[in-house]
Amino acid sequence: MSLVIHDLSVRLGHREVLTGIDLIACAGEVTAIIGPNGSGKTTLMRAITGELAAAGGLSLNGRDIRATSAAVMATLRAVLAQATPLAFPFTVAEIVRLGAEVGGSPPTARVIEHALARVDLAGYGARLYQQLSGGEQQRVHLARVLAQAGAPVGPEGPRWLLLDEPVSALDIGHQMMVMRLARDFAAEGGGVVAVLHDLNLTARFADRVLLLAEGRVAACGTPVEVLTGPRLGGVYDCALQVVALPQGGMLVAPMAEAG
Amino acid sequence: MVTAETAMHLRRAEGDRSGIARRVTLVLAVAMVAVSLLSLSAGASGVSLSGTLAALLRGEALDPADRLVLLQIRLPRLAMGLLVGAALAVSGAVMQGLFRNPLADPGLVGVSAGAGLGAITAIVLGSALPVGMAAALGPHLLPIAAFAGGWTATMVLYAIASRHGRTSVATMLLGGIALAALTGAASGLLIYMADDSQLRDLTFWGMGSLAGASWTRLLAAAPLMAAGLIAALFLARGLNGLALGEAAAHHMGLAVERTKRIAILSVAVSTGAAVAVSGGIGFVGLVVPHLLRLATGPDHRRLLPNAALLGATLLVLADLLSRTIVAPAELPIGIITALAGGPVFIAILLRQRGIVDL
Ligand SMILES: Nc1ncnc2c1ncn2[C@@H]1O[C@H](COP(=O)(O)OP(=O)(O)OP(=O)(O)O)[C@@H](O)[C@H]1O
Ligand SMILES: [Mg+2]
Repeated sequence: MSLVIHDLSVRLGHREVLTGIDLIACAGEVTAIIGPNGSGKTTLMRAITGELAAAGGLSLNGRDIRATSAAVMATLRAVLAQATPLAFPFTVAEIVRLGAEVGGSPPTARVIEHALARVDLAGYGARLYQQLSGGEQQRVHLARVLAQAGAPVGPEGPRWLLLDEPVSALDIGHQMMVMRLARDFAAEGGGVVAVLHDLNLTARFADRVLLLAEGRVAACGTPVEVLTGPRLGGVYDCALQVVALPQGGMLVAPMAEAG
Repeated sequence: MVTAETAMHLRRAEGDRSGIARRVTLVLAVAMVAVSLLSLSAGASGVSLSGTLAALLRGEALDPADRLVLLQIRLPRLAMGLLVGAALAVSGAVMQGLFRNPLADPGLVGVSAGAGLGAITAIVLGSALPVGMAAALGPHLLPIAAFAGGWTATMVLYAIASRHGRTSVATMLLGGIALAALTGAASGLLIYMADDSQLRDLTFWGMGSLAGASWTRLLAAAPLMAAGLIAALFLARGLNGLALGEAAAHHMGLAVERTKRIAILSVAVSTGAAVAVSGGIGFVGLVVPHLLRLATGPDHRRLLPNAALLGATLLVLADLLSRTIVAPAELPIGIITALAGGPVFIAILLRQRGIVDL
């Protein structure tokens, strides 16, 4: 069971924003999508969620995404968008409840509180969303998405988390917490596709990496294959070095400025 | 017997206001019944509530004159008040959910203005109709013209704002403002042409009143308002999703385009009908959903039915006041809703300023 993208192209307005994207993301793995601002990561995610018209092949668990109804897709995958504009003063618990209802599990107090506890927001249920900090707001939506996804494997096969920059507003502790959540979801059989800007988190948590540059695939493979100093330096247009750590893993860091 | 497990099941998460909202529904339903009985009992003639109730309970026949007042004057007026109040409040809540903006209102997107233009046309140009036709239409001319105006406005707006089956809310909002301005200009022109007696009719209609309620007018308007209300009750989940944005609503499996289309239709139908029979009754659609969101949260599954109950209650109450303050004369009800609604609305804005960026 996997997410299969074949020769995908997306036009927005008069621009071809994505060209010839190929990717196979497997359930049980964390797949990271990385690339500079404007390289097309969000556009790719929106094509995968079925929001955008796209040319090429696009299937999830063997189903053609564009031929599947929104209601069915909602039981196969849950999506965290890069930004979620909330219109009315909902409490935290009410937002998570909206997600839980979609997932089909009855939105009991236990389900809601469990989802909040997983993102370190235990006791925040009665707070108004608009009165939370930016990072707390991001974690509320993550809790909603987790509540929608439910168990990593459902009757129809693996479920998927599609996360567009899930840690962009988070401190390092909560970044680690969220990435562990994603990795555990995959370890239990679910699929995770996450857009990330942090190359060190990518190196540490991703099983596969898709590097986008100007709407095309610059590289795709394991972190060790994709994350090399010269390649990253070229794509991000800044001098980067990749250092292997003695205890395993690697560190991506800017080169010292000359002079 | 409530076992420990079902008790666990029934417990609501801290911050989940759906339990309170349910209790508010009950309270509002009781209030609506109480206000309705009060409204039936009050009026220029001396029919009293206790006498009426006692007679009804004992199965006795009412005094024929009392019977006439109750059945032909107060009852249709009460029914009209309940329906118009519910229609205005629910239309407001639906429009706000659709536009994701607590300040949206059918008055804002030109639907009320379109219905108004229809009514004004009927008042000013109605006399120009061929004599036979005017006589045949009689009192129906004004409501029919107002339905037509509101419906046309909605259709024009829909043509402006939607393309290939997709509706852009921003275009609709801006198009609605332009439409309201155009309609207002046309209305102004007609008012300029009106003679003195027409001007009096116009002023009275424009301020809003239920004084013209009768079974005939109710029968013409009630099915439309009822249809709009019933359609609205099916929108709750979709509007909840839209509160998180169109993308998130789609991610959560909701039929976004269908929700938008039904919302537009529901608002057009109930607002057109309400404006036709009651003129310009403002603030109900703005204030009622606001108050309820403050008390029980924005979840539309509770907001929409509660708005129907509270809107109905408040409008009947306002009508009661309008009939009793200066009895035996009547104040237009629109004056009362504006007098009560305006300050409440400003107070809400001031309170909310710090919480929600409107
Ligand atoms: N509606 C649109 N019409 C035309 N071009 C668009 C539209 N939306 C996005 N683009 C362009 O498509 C490109 C890819 O945008 P996208 O949002 O996918 O970037 P991204 O990789 O997610 O960037 P970031 O890291 O900043 O989130 C950008 O150049 C952007 O300007
Ligand atoms: Mg992006």
